[in-house]
Amino acid sequence: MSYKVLSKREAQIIAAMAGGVIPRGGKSFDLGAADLEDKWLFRTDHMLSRMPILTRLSLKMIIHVLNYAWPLLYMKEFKPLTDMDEQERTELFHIIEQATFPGPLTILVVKMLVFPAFYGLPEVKHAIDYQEKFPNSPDYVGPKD
Amino acid sequence: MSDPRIEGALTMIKEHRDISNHITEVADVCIIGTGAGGAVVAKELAEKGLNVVALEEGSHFTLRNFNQDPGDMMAMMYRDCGTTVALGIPPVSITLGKCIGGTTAVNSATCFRTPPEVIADWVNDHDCQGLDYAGLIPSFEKVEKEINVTELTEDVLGNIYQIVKRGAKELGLEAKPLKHNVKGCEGAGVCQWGCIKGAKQSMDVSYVAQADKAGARIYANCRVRKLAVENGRVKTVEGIFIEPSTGKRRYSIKVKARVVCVAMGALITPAFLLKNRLANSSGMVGKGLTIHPCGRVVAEMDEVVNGHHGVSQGGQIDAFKNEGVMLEGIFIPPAIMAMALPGVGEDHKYLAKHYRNLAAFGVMVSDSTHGRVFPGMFGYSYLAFYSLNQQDAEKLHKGIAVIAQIFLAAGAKRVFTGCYAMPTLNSREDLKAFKNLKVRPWNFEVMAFHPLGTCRMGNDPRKAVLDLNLESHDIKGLFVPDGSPFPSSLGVNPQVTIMAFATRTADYIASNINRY
Repeated sequence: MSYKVLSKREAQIIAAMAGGVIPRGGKSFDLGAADLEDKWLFRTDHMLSRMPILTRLSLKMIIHVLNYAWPLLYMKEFKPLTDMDEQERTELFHIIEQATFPGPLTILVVKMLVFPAFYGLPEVKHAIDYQEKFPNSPDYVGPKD
Repeated sequence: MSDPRIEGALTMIKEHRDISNHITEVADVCIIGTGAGGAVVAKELAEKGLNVVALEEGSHFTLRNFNQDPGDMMAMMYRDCGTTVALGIPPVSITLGKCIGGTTAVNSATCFRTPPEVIADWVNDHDCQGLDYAGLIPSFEKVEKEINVTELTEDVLGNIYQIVKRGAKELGLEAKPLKHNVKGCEGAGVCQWGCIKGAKQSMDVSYVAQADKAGARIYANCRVRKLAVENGRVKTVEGIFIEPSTGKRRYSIKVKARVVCVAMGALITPAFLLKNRLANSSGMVGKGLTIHPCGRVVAEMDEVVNGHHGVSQGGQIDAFKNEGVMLEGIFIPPAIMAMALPGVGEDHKYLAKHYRNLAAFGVMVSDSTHGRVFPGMFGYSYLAFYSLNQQDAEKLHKGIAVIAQIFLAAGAKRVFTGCYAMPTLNSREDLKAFKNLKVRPWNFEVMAFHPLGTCRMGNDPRKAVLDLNLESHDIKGLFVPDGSPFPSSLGVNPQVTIMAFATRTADYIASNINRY
């Protein structure tokens, strides 16, 4: 798999973050970010490719920093997020969300990178019983470059 | 005859792929930007027989391209994939359209005339003697007819409108339907992601299509870089065609024109003028940015709401308008709604699964905060700074509290405030605590959709960038018919105001073209 702008490591970090926010299983629906990461990561990559280069580089740098900074700041552990299991990551995000400003704001970075890509997938729409009121136009061809 | 919603605006629009050499054009009027301001001027002047060239940085999209997926549509139609912001505390997301039709192609289609008291305030306190509401009425009427401003039926306004109406009644407030620029709207609920029914009469299907029909030459994917001025008069506009997917620069375009209308919106217009060192003898270019900071309140209801089955922005409560607080409907698909809600893990998944039980409503503040715009760099088209002041934060707090109260009165199980200090309200006791909360600006997650005021109009050239016809005090033939001229916050959605002022400006240009 190769991405337009994400490196393998960056994709791995984003996937780990996504797994903490949308873990597998649970009472609501089974699907987790990890189940479909080969699909939504490509969409995230495409969106990043449409951002100005400095925004893109900043986001890429921020995720590298947060991978270490979040566990260190909020769990006092020098262990990157990518080495944690899904449950540990979810617990960490719970702690960050309850923290004072700018803690919750930093989680927005993950949400911004993951949610538009993840919740646009047909499997996810089906899992949450979401259906648009109308289908696309009969003239629909596809998004334009 | 071809349908502009499907075929695109007909014959004259040229995109980067249609251009195979450098272009030189001679025109009476060159218009930069095809949003609410530029499109109106293009159509009005082309229909009056003037030779018009319009340049637009974005591409041209139609029903063939709209798929209701915010991820795809943001990457396609939004400037910088929807990541445009004003920096400050808190940072504010200000989404902008980048396509033929500008932000009107991705707005909620809500229409208001400029409130008469706002015009009076401009006359009395902002050096705009000569403007009057009565004089603007013909322009409002013309615009409203052109874009078909209409009141929708309750089934199209959706269930959230009914819920809010019910809750508001309990509190002695009145919820009213908003007016929209639509034809045959069935409430697909994706106004901000490209109307899949082609019902929204955004500029691309209304004014731009008319301009095209009247013979205006419209170039998409064209980034304007330079406006040359000679002896205090506009001379040429220079731009370059850009391939949107790669950012690769292709051929150039040079337009020699007697009149130039810079209508790139209140964030990019001042950045462009500052970069070109133009029209700034007053020192006011880029200053005075207002944005209508917005908050949103989401409620979890017992009943199935299906908020996405109805127009995105259905109703309004204007009871607090005089205090600078407007309450307006808002609803968004799961991909964006999920970002607006607290919770991770199972808490998040629970809310995603219960999306159909969610209702939402927004708060829009008529702001006294003023931000500032600077020229963009490193690939950004502008740089804006805006830090919400305490007074506006308190207005936002008040609006959020009122909506929360309305939702709780309507039977909400819990309410999400978008306020970091107290993100969830589970009961009326929580609401009481929320109302008593001492809030600070950084407690809120703020977004905005209406940047205005960065090249203000006024009679005194020492204090204003533009005169009341929206012509630069400094440069003859340079007009700014977008959201930049308005010297204070409107307090209502601005598209009709921008279009009405642009209509007025077009009339002025047409009557005086021989002077240029």
